[in-house]
Amino acid sequence: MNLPFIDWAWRTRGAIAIDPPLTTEETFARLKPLVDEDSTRCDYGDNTLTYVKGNPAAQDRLATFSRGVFAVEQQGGLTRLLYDVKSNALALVLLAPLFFVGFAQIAVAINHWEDRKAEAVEAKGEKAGDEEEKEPAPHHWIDEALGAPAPETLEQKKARMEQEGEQKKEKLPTTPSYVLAGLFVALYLLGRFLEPYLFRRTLRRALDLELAETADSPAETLEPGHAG
Amino acid sequence: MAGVRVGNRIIGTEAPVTVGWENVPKVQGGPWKVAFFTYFQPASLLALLAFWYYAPNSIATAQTAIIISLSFRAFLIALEFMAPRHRSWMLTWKEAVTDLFYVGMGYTVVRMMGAYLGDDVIIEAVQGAADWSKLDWFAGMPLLIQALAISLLFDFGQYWMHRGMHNWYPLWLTHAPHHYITQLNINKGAVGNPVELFLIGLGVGGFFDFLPRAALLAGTFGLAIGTYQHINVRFNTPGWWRFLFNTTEHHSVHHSQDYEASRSNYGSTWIIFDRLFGTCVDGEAEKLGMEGGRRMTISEAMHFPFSEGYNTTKQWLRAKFHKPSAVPAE
Repeated sequence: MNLPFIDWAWRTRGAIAIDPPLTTEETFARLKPLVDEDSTRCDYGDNTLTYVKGNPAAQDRLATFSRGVFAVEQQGGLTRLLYDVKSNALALVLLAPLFFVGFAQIAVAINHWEDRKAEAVEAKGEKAGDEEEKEPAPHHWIDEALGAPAPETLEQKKARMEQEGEQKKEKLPTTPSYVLAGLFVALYLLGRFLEPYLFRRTLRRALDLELAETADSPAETLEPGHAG
Repeated sequence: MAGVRVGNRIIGTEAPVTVGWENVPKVQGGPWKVAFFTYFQPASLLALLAFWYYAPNSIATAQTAIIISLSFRAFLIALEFMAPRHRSWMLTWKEAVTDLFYVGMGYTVVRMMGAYLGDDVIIEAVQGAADWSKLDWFAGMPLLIQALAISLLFDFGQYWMHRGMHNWYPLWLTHAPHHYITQLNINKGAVGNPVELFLIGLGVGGFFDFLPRAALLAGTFGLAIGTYQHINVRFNTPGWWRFLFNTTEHHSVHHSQDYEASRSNYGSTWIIFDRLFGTCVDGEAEKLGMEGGRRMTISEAMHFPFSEGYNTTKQWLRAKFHKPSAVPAE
């Protein structure tokens, strides 16, 4: 789906100069560790490489930008790798706050409905809601001897709640939903700037043949007690 | 793969598993580093227990518990970056946001299910039907005994629910998405289908009357012990701790790609029930998950119990009622 005015939110483009110059085949060969996974579909054109990662592994280096196009440009004896990639994860994280704000609205509606139900019961003269709170049991003598503060009496609790202005307990609290929406906004902003930077750094390392060295570490030497 | 015999079972024939504490690596480095990773867990547990035991009533509230819990978990996430146990379990941005989404489901959808169908509702109905009052004698016991009893009682229930999930197919369908995680990080405990998270949260604590401070102390066992089961940090955990409590080592064995290893270490905070009922395997594993480490997407995790259940039922019915027609002999 093409959304040209807003796709900057989950799309990143750029170019990396390759020095010394490489042929198109050599460039794509260096990118192979990034797209050579079972879950990656690759299409090679004359000077382009299109990749789609259906369901990348957690540690896949291109897990965030899971689809895109690489193009190699040869001009005046210089080689440039152009990239144009998209991230479903960034798009979904951008939408996540809407999900949680939406859930908060559902919770508000349910709480309102619960209040109305309780009012209706009270209007009928019946006892509504929670059972009456009892005075807490006194502490065991061991706790008294060890100096644990005595349990709060109902009167003390009431006074504290009045002083702190504590609200009536809602059936479904809405604060977590709003906090989560805020966290997703913050994580989106972090990802929008961090992930393109990491993506570019990964490409540079692949082109400099640094990824081959850090590829899968050799299998552990088996010792007694190791099953493998 | 040869595997290692543990009791009647052979562990590690399908994927690498390290069995036995003597084979688990220790934290290397200077004396300060080794001291920190040796004493941090017991010291923070003791500090938190002392805090909740002595905090004035105005501070010993649920709100303080939330602040402490979030701060403690944020610190542990920072620790994962500073001292990762396995580089292959490093928390990436995408893993972090995925985990947070599941945490969010726990605070919203699962909580809603709990409010209308949870243990409190069931227990209230049982108490109402049988005209039972809460068991008041419980609140007269020393605070730490109450806290231990709450924690052990809840964990005992979780142990059997979790073991049931690994042994009864309908329950397994709800739990399977959680086993598709391929690495352990602080928030991975929240990853799974909401139905499973609802089921694993059921407890019988509501039958007992206990002091709020005891509940806060019991919560500390979960925070300062249970949280470590999903951490990507290596500790020199003391032997007594490993004997009593669940650790990331135990839980990594439970999440191993080795089928036999995954049928062990069902406890949440405590490992003693596994020791008692013969399902404990002391050791660790790095290669985690199902189907060779396939990462399950959020959408699949949401529908898996239902779609997989539907497919299995369809196949079962087909096998039962549409027997292949007999081929006439020549």
